[in-house]
Amino acid sequence: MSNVAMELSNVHKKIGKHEIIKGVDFSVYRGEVFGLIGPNGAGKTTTIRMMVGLLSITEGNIKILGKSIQKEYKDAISEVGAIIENPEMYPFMSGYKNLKHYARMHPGVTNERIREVIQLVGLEKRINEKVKRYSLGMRQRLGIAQALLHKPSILILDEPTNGLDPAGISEIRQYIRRLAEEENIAVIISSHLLSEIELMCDRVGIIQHGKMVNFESIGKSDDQDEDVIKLQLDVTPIDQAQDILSDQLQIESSVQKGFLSCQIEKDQVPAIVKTLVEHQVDVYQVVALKGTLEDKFFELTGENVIE
Amino acid sequence: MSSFIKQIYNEQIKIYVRKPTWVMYFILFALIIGIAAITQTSGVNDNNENWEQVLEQDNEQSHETIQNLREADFSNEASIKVFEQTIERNNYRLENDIAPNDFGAWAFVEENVFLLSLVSLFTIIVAAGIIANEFKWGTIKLLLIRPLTRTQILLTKYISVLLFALWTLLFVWVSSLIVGMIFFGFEGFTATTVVNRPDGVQEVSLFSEVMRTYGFRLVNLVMMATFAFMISAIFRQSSLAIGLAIFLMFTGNTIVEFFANRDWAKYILFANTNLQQFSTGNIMFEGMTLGFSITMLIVYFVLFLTLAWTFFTKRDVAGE
Ligand SMILES: Nc1ncnc2c1ncn2[C@@H]1O[C@H](COP(=O)(O)OP(=O)(O)O)[C@@H](O)[C@H]1O
Ligand SMILES: [Mg+2]
Repeated sequence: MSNVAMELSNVHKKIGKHEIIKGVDFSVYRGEVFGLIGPNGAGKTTTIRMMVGLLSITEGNIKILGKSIQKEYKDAISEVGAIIENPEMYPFMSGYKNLKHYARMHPGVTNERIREVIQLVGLEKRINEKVKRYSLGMRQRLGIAQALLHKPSILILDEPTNGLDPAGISEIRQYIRRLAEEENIAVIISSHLLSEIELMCDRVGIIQHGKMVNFESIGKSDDQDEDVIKLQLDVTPIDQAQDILSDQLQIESSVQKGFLSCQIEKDQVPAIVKTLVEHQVDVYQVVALKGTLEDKFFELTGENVIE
Repeated sequence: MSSFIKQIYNEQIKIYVRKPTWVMYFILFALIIGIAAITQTSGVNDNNENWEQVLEQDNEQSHETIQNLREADFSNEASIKVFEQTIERNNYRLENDIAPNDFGAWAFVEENVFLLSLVSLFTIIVAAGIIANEFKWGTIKLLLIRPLTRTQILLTKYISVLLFALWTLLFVWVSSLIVGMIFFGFEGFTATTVVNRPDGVQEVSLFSEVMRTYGFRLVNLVMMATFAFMISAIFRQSSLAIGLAIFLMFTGNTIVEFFANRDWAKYILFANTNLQQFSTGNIMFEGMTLGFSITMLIVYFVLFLTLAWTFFTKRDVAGE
């Protein structure tokens, strides 16, 4: 597909004797926001460092718009803007001077463009202050500004939500969606917290122990698909309700935290409610949890708390 | 402007925007003013009418000193040679009726050549930090993911170190000249002086002699800066680079003297950094020539830069 922005094929990375990345394959397309999710130490940063040529690739291949990051470094890297781990800048220079510094490293970045990115990330008021006085959130913004200076085709953001409050995250979400939709940029965004980036991604890949364990599309399936959903019922008497569901509808359910919960297909919901009411069960609340991805994530990574 | 030139500009900004750099220049300037003031108050030995008498007295003293040196258990040929050369110069002046110059700006500039040790020190500090600091600050990641190869980044940094050395040397030179003019007056561009050359004593332009003295010191400056730069590129750590380079700078001559009686002593870097020895004829090891020293310097230079390049371009930039 000509729309492929970044392609990883069978990528391995060994540091010393340890194989940190064990054969990763995926492609990211133009106009798409791809989330790279995995617990700390899964290999997200290592994978990203290989994408931008900071680490050599032990085995396999990474191509950016068809160009090998190893063999055609300059052409490939020209298309990439990135922040990797903490967005560290020169602390003794102002935000503006930092941006000027990086702007000089790319042909054709005008002062106009610098103002544009400052506006995009909302740093106008503090841009002439020294970076050492910036909060982590402001540094993240400056980091994103720096990555966008040269209008890259691919934007890579490693844990950009670190240090941001929910308002900041929601703001980032908005301009990342805009970059993908309006400017057709491919965005690769990593996080160890699914909840923080789920809403801005079109697709996520889950990485664990240096391997991609699953890919999921997000968003489009929400309304129509007959996807399996998780239903939470607040009913009394709860034991009776559980029996009714298994006898009448052959649905297995369990009691969790005072709720009756079950995995069902969406079009079964009316039948469940009707049957319960007909059998004199009081129904206080019916909640459909759309977080099936989150469940999957926990299921796959085997942890409830990811820190 | 190409990205490469702009990147050299970037590197220069990163050196000169920082306070430690200003402190270096402030120290140099304060020293120059201080030395001028002390020289002034302690009385400049302007030469009077009976300069011939003064030189003859000087000759007598030198003869005596040589005598004493010869009789001492340790006969120090190099020191003896220095006094012999002084006598030769004095005699040349007496025979040709060339009075010594009054102490002026050029003389002050020439005396201040010792400040270049400080310039070396500062250049070592800058060279040691220029790569290591990017790792320390974490900015190396954002610096390397640009359409410049690692070789180009390394080169812009190296050129930037050399430019720093050059600007700082010029700063010492120009400040000394201006401060010297204010305190002691100016000898002019036509003033001459008497110097030793391998084929005897000569009268040369004072200005060109000052230029030569500074020029020769550049060799040592560049070699020490390149050494510190290499350590910085290999270990990505500035304190090690500063420590090693300063240690070698101060012990270099001692190392050479310590191994002086081995055949391979002349291959030591510091036996070759003083090219002025070929100009004065006061050569450290028998059989050493200007060509030999220049060859050795190039070998060391290429070795330092090759090692720096290999480590900087081949090694992973991983997390800590
Ligand atoms: N320089 C290194 N040397 C050895 N192991 C490393 C190095 N850097 C990272 N690792 C290991 O590689 C694994 C993946 O790390 P990383 O890519 O930083 O994970 P993530 O970004 O997903 O949190 C971790 O187990 C980490 O300990
Ligand atoms: Mg990470």
